[in-house]
Amino acid sequence: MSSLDAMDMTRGITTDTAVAPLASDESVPSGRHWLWRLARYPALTGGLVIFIVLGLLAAFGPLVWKGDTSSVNLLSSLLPPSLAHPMGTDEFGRDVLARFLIGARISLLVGLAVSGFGALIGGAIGVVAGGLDGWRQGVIMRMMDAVLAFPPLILAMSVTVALGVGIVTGSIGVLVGSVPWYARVVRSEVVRLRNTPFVEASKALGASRRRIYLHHIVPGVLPTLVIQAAAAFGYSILALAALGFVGLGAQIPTPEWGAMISDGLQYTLTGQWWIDVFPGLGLLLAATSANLIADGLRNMLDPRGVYARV
Amino acid sequence: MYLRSRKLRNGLSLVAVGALGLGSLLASVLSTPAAASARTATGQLVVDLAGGSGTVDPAQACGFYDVAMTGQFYARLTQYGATSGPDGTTQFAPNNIVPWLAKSWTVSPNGRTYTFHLVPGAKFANGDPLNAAAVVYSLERSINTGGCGQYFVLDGITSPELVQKITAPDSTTVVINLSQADGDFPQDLAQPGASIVDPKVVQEHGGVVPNKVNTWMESHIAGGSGPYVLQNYVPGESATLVANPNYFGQAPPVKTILVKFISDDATLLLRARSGEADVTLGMSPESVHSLVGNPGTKVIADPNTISLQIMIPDNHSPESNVDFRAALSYALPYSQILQKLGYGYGQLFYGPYPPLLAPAYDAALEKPRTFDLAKAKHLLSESGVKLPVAVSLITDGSVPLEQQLATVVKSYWAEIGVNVTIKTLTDANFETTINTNPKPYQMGITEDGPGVIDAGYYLGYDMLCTSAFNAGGICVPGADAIYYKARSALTEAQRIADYHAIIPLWTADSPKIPVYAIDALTVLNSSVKQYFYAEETEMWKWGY
Repeated sequence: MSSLDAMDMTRGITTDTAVAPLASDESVPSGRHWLWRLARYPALTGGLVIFIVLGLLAAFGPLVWKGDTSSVNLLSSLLPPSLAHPMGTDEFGRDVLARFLIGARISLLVGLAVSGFGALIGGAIGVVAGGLDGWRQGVIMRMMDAVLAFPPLILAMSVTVALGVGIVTGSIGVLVGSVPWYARVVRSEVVRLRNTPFVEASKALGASRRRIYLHHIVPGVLPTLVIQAAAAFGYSILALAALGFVGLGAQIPTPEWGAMISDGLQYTLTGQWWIDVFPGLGLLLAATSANLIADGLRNMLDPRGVYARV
Repeated sequence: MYLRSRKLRNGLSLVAVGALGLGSLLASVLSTPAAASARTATGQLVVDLAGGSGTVDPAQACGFYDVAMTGQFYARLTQYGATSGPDGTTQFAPNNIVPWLAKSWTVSPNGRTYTFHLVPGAKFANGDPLNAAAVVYSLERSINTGGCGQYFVLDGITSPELVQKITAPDSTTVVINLSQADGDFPQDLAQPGASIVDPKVVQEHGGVVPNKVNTWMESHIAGGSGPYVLQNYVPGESATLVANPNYFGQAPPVKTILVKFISDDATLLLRARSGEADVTLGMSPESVHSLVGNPGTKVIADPNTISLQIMIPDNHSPESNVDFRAALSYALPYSQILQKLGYGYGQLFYGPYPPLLAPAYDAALEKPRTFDLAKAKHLLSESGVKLPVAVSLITDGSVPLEQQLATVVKSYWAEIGVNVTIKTLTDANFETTINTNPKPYQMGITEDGPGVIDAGYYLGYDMLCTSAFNAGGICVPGADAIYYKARSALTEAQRIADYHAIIPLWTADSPKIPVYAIDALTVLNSSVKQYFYAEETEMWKWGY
């Protein structure tokens, strides 16, 4: 066994050997084992169930329910929910369920893309900054602070207006505002990990900087990054919906949930509640599932949290 | 009972909050006649306007809300007569101009000299004499300031200017010399742009600088010659009008009017429904329609010169192709659009004049275009335009009806091979774009109509090939020459005949698509018994 392999085993001291021994069936990952573990985190389970249902609706819903999302049929406008139109029709006679399902695709895909790319870019900046010392780290983090000084939604609106309104530019606007959050959290985690005994031991044994980062630092920050991304997923969806609501995100006739709520708002008080209530419910479920997943992951992955076995 | 269970306590708390919220909501949406009755007793009328006034200077007031506010504070030489309106109300008669500050007037045989005789002894609210000198000063001020007031007073005739000279031979006589006969001139003097201001007050606050805005006048009243004076004004928020104690005419039925500027349609609807507002102007058609049958409110729809229209400037291809333009006009379901988007509040027509511009408008000559996709496709094939063709359509993002029409247009024109890309602009950007020459946009949707109810005034900015205000980029071959002939006609009959001669030329050219003339919608609280509709809003004729 090499000294580095020994060091890898030593790394386990902070987690596995510092806690009460696990039952033997928990020590070896298996399908039943992971399902059993999942069941111990009801919030995470609930969030995943909702997310999977929404994902299935987004992926397969438009293939099953082939309502027309864009053709106008004024004679069928503002019809209430019925068997023919389970979510009713909007002011142009378009089927709200069909638009809801396409909207689900847009919202979930954008949420995943923005939180994913945000984690990637912000995480990279955080790792780099955390590995630097002195003024260089300060410069990077002050740049992040400068972006954080802007209210996120205002920043997203400004970027969108500058680049031209639309879903893509709106997503970029939301992404720009989210990067510094990742950078700050990851940078803090990197600084903490750099000072842990196992990293210092690796250094003492002559491990290269690259090995230390790839084998210790990055794996160490991943749980934090994943939790942050899960929470940001919900925010991303809501932020894009907010941009769509004010007319800066999805443009007509794209069926994005925020834009649908904006279009339907004027009809809520006049009795045609279905136009914006269903997309609103969609947003509520998507954001709630993201928050539940983030909370659940935090509980599962954070060894210092409620469910820690120390 | 102490609730040991935190979950149960939280649950009950939520239920209590929900009940409170629901109760408040119900209270706000149910009609509350008590509020309206209280205002009746104190003689106050609450008016909600769906937009703010940017200025109360008659020389600068342009938009609907600017004009709506300004007109209450200043008298003019003339005013619109009245005719009966819907549901027990009265409305203005565009073709019946009656005396106001001028108790009578005469016109010279050549139609170029108007002599007005003023009401003797009239005063401004501050006690200054409201005489011929003030009239001369005020009209010259509007002309020289160079704002919208100038265009109204000159009836859009600027080369040479319609008004050549204004004199006051005595304190109650005003003589106005025109560069040409203009049968519409008395109506121009009924516009808020021709308001009579106190020269002394204006001179004390910046005076008149040619082509420069007097910033003091934007939020203050110069003397006040009209039925109301401005007691309190918060731009964009509210204005309080009180009856002018020195008003020379009949005192208004209501002593105080509180005007609230509310841009949110939902708020307008809730306030109208609950009785917090007595008169509501500018609510959306869907909100107005939801109040039909609502106890405590009454919906009044009056004809209007504003029409929803699709502009098709002819300085691009394929828009310069007549058959292409005509094809587009046959590919829209106008009746469905009026019924479903406009809730029936409007009138269909196809021609240069909306129905309110009768007698220039002729129902037989301006029959609405039919929805005929087969005809549209046939015209497209004759046009030689290669399909599919992509066009861009700009809309004003602040006008929901335009957004809705754009969606309908995109869907229906796709069926004839015209693929529309909708570009939503901000209000300021939209105005700049449509007023830029040459036109930088391919097609656009707008709501527009003349402030002066006259065909000549309308064509002067909407149709003339050389007009800087021709937002639609229209140029109908042969029409301009007839227009000039009509404007200098000595008799009304000749003028109308000339306007009718323009119609077939215009419709053959299909220069733009008037979708429908939009009715002016007012929601009245049931306590309001007197209501007079006029395009420039005459609140001094409203009351309980």
